[in-house]
Amino acid sequence: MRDDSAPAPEHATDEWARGLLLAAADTIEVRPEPRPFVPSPSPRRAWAYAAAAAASVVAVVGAVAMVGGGTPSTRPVGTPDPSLFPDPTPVEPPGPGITLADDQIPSVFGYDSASARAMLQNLGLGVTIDIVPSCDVPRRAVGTNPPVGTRFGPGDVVELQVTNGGDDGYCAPPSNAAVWPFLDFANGRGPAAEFAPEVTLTVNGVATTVTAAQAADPTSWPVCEATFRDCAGSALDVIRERSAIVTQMNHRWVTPSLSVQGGAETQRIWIGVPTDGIFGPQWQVTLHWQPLNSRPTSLLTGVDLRWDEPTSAPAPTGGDPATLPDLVGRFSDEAISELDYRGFEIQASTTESCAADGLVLAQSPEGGTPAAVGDVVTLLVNSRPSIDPGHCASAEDELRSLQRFARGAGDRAPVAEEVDLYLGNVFQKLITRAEAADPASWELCADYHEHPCPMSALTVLRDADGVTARPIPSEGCGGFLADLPTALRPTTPDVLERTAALESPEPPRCFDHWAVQLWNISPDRTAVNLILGDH
Amino acid sequence: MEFSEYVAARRARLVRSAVLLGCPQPDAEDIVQAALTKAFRSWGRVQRAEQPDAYVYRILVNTLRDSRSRRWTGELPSDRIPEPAATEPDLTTGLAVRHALAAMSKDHREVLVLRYYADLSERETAEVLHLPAGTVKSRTARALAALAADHNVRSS
Repeated sequence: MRDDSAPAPEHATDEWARGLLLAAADTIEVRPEPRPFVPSPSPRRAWAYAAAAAASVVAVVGAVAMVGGGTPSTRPVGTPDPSLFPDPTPVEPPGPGITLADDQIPSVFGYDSASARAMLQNLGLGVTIDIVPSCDVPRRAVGTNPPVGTRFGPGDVVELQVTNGGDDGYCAPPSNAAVWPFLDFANGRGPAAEFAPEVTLTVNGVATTVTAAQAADPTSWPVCEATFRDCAGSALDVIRERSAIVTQMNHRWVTPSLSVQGGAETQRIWIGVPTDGIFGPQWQVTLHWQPLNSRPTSLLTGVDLRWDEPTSAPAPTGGDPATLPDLVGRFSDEAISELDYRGFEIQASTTESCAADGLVLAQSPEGGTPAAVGDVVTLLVNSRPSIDPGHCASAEDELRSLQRFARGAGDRAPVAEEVDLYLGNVFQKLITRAEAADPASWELCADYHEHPCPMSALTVLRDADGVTARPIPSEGCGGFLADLPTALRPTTPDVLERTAALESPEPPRCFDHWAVQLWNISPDRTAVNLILGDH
Repeated sequence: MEFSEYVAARRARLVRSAVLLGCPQPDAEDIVQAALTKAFRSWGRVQRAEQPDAYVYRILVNTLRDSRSRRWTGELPSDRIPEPAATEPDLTTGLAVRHALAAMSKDHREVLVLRYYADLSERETAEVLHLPAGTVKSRTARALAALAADHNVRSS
């Protein structure tokens, strides 16, 4: 901890760092633009470009653990408990996963224009087409207006957004051109992919060679063993399930995307919903193509389905995967992603408070507890849809009262029913109002800048002059040290109004800065953070 | 600035940034291509942005994160020494810095690359990384300290 907070030496100036980074960058050779952004004469040229690849490898990667079934009509989604998300489109939990209700606009990911239009019309929606500029292949459905998840009634009209294929002539040929037809085939919405005479289908290293005709029949594809991980079936099943995922992040429904990465000879693509970069256990599908120069498309020669062992991936926040992460103070979407990644089951409930919307206020079992994959973790998530900020007490008043109490006024601590005590931005313990009446309850002991135990916010308040009634600053030393737990970050103006700080005058070195910071989290919950400078 | 002008002016820097951020070099050009394609789709918005570079770097960082970048460790290719660039770089120092960056946490690497190679301000870096400005400031200080403490960087 001390190494982390050690200040940079004097010579480590901005200019010094710029010089070093420039030297590092100069060791990186960059080829001239291999695929310049130049006008492409026509989509057909794009196909020809794709066919020019000597061989390409395509990997379809799911970013989150699958939940629910895989058919478009069931519309499974990736988040486990809708009660986490107070609005805009709450849904009922159907069991282990979440399903969009029948009156919610579905995802159109993976659909082409015609199939998306038909699917929406089958739901009773009127459909208009909006051609949107896109460098993707033409006539793919990319979204709707209103967006996925919006409630609709009979006869409502939805605008279906469809790619124009970059016909404004300013796009590189799309590198995913050969993949969309394969996704259509996997989703049962298109003809069989163009297979080579012999196709090698591999599942976890076990290869099976089939004819093109057999490959065109999804029922003949080899599947993973039913008992292995959360086996999804064949490679086609995996693709279908990944394509159908919808998840909710920051109260918005998010659909998967198809990404392609690769050059002329190798391509990797993946399907998934955003998970803040967290990639956990997943099935990976790799496609091998054999190009034929005389044809507009490549032939598919092989499909590999394999389990990508999670052990090869770093844990998103470090730590022992057999130990529960501490999720209190993080936002629910992050928390769910991490729990999902680590293989835990999730239950959640919400409560209203003055804290930021979506914050995890509590978890059970607590972070650090030994746990096994499949264990249930319960989260208490904050919801702030109807909070009147005015009912939250003034943090300044509370801090002034607390200072008076520290100096001996009164025998009842003027605090909320519960007080979270932090030391150096790290949560230490919770004390009740009754316990807070005893100054000894405020004493903390931890390895913190080699300060002797005990350390107490009350002691600092008692000896300090006045209370600086201001939000936790983002600039100056207060900001410098404000690498706060997410729960305590002043994210919105009304949260800012509920913070107050008593701080040292700006010291020569920020590491000498000290402060007592108070957050009025809710009418019955306060957080007090004690920051002490280097000793 | 027209999109083509922007690409001509910035592409190499973006590719190098991607590598310094931990993306394997063979993948970096494709990642940048993907990021620029996304930027092109909303080029009007990029142009109107107060700081177009910050906007594009935000797309780049998000593209890296959306990809399998979390599995990349930023390892250095050791089979050959890169071609010297026209500026006759200090290869020993440069490679030492790259090794140091690769050994750092992602958080530290990101702030150093964005602040000191992409030349973004603290506020812009905070926007790119979705962090409070204070966090960028403190992370930068810690990352600088880590870089300064690296034996190979010191002795190069």
